[in-house]
Amino acid sequence: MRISRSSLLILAAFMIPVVVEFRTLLLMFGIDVSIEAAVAASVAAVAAVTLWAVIPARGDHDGAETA
Amino acid sequence: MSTYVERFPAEAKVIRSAFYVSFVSLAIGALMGLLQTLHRTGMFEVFSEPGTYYTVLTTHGVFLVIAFTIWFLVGVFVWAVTTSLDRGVESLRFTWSWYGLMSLGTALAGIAILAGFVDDWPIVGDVSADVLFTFYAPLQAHPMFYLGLAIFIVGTWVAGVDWFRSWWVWKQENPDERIPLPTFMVLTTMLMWYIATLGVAVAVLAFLLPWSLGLLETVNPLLTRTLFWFFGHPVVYFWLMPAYMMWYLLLPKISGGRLFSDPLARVVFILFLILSVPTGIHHQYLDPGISEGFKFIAMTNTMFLLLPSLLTAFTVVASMEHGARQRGGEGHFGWLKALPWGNPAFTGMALAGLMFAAGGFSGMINAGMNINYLVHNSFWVPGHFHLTVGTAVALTFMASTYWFLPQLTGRKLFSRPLALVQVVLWFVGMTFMSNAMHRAGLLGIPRRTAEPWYDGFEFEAGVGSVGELNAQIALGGTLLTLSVAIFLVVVIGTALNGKSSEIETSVIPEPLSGPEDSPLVLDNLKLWTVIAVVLVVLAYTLPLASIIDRGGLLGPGGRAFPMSLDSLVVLAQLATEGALPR
Repeated sequence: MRISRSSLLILAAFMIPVVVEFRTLLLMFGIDVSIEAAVAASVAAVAAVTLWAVIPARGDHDGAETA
Repeated sequence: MSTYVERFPAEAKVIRSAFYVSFVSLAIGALMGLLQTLHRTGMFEVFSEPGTYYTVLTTHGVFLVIAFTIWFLVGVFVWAVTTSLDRGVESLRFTWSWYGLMSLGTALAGIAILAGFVDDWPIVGDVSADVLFTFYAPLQAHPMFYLGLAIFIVGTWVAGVDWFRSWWVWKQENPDERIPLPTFMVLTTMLMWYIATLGVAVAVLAFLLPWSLGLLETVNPLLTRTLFWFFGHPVVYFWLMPAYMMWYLLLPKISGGRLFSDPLARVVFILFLILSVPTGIHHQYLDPGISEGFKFIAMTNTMFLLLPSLLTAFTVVASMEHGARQRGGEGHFGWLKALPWGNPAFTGMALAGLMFAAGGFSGMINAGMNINYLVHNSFWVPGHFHLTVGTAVALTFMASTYWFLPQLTGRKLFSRPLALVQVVLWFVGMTFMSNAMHRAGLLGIPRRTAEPWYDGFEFEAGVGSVGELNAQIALGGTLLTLSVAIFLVVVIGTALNGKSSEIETSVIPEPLSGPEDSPLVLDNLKLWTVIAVVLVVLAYTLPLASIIDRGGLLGPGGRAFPMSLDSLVVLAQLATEGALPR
C-alpha cells in the first residue's frame, strides 16, 4: 500500500465534508446535480482514492505498510 | 512505576468511578438522541404523545451536557492535579465525599427526569422535569430535579476545594516553584466555574426550588432566564477547558513532541477565566426586556473570546508539527503524514479540534447580534453546539479515554482498530448531521419541537430538498449512536482485559518554552479572579437591576407550565403591565 490503512481511513473520512457540500458548491456555478449523481460521484471518488492507495507504487516491492 | 494506577492506585479508583458514571450517562443520553433524530426527521414515529418528546429532549440534554461531561472532567482534573504536583489527594475521604455529593445530585435529578416517562406514579403522583437543559421559568420541574441539580453543583464546588487544597499544601512545600501547567489549568477552570455557578445557584435556590415547592407563587421568568445564561454560556467553557487541556497536554505527547509554549497556554486559560462569564446575554438577543446596549456589550465580550481559541489553534498545531518532525516528517505540509493517525486517541482529538474550528465559525454567526436574528431558535443552533460540545468536547473525551483507561486500569486497550473506527465514525456522522442541521436552520426549520412540519406550509431548500436534509440528519444520528456503542464496547473490553506491562509512561514531556519563560504575574490567581469579577459586575449589574426594576424580583405573575403557549400568557401580561418595550 502507498499509505497505511489508518491513513486511508482518515483520508476517506476527510472526503465526507467534500461529498456533503459537493452539490452546494456546484450550484454556485449554476450546475444542479441530483442526489443520486452526487452519491455516485462520491462513491467513485472514494473508490479511486482507495484504489490509488492499494495499488503499490512503481518500484515498491516491499509490500504493505500497515501501521 | 510508570502508569498512573501504579503511582496513585487510590486516586485511579476515584477517576475510574467518575468515568464509569460519565459513560453510563453518555449511553442514556445518546440513545435519547437517536430517538429524537428518527422522530423529528419523520423516519419513525417514536412518540405517540408529543409531550414525550420533551422528556426525551431533557434526558438527552441533561445526561450529556451535565452528567457525561462534568463527571468525566472531574476525573481528568484529579489526574491533572495529582500527576503534576506529584502527590496524592490530601484526604481520600474528602475526595469520596464530593464524589458522593455529585452521585446523589445526579441520582435525584436523573430520577426526576426519567420519571417523566410515566404519567402517574403510585403514592407520589406526577413526577417530571421536562424543562430541557435550559431549565428556566416558566417551565417548571419537580423539586427533586432542582434539589439534585443544587447538590450536584455543590459537589463540584467541594471537588474544587479538594484541588485547591492539594495545590496549597504543595505550595507551602515548594514556595519558589511555578504552578505546574496542568494544575494551573484546573485552578483557573474552577475559579471560572465558581463565578459562573453563582448565577444558577441564585436561580435555583432563591427562585426555582421554592417556586416548585409552592413557597413562591410566581417568579420573574426573564430574571431566571438571565441568571441561567449567566451560568449557561460559561458552562460551555467548563466543558471546553478540560478538552483544551487534553489538546495541550496529550496531543503533543502522543504526536511524539512537546508542547510549543507553556506561557501561551497559561494566557489562554487566564483569558477564559476573565472572559467566559460576562457573555451570557448573547443567548438573549431576542429577549424583550433587555436593552440593546447591554446586548451589544455582551456581543463585544463574546467576540474577544475568539482570541484564546485562536491562540490554542496556533499552539496545538505548532506542538503537533514539532512532534511530527521528531518522527521524521518533512516539508510545509508533508509533516502531517508523519502524525500517528493510527492512534485513536490522537486521531479522535485531532478530528475534534478540526470540527471545533467549524463550530467556531457558526458560533461567530450566533454571537453577532444582527445575524443571530436569522438563526435564533432555529435548527442551526443544535447544529452549532453538536460541533462544539457534541464533538470538540465529546469526541476529545472519548478519544482521550483510549489513553486514560490503560493508565487507570493497567490493562491494554481493547482493539485499537475498533477504537480508530469509532472516532472516525463520530467525525463522519457528525459531519452529516450538523451540516444538515445548520442548513435546515437557514431555511427556518425550528429547534425544540417534535414535529417541525405544518399544514399548508413547506420549507423550501436552496439545494436539494428538506427530505434530503432529514435523511442526512437521520443517517448522521444513526452513525453517531453506532459510534457510542463501539466506544462502550471498547471501554468494557478494556476493563475486562488482562493486565499488561506494555503501557506507555504517563509522564507528560516538558514544554519547548517552559514556565520559566512566562511572566510571574500569570500565576497571580487573585489578580485574574478580581478582574473576572469586575468584568462580571460591569456586564451584569445594570441589566439585572433593570430587569428587577421593571418586572420585580418575583415577576408579574403567570402560571407555570411546561408548554410554550403559557409563556405567551406571561409575555402578554408583561406587555399589558408595560414591562415590555413598545
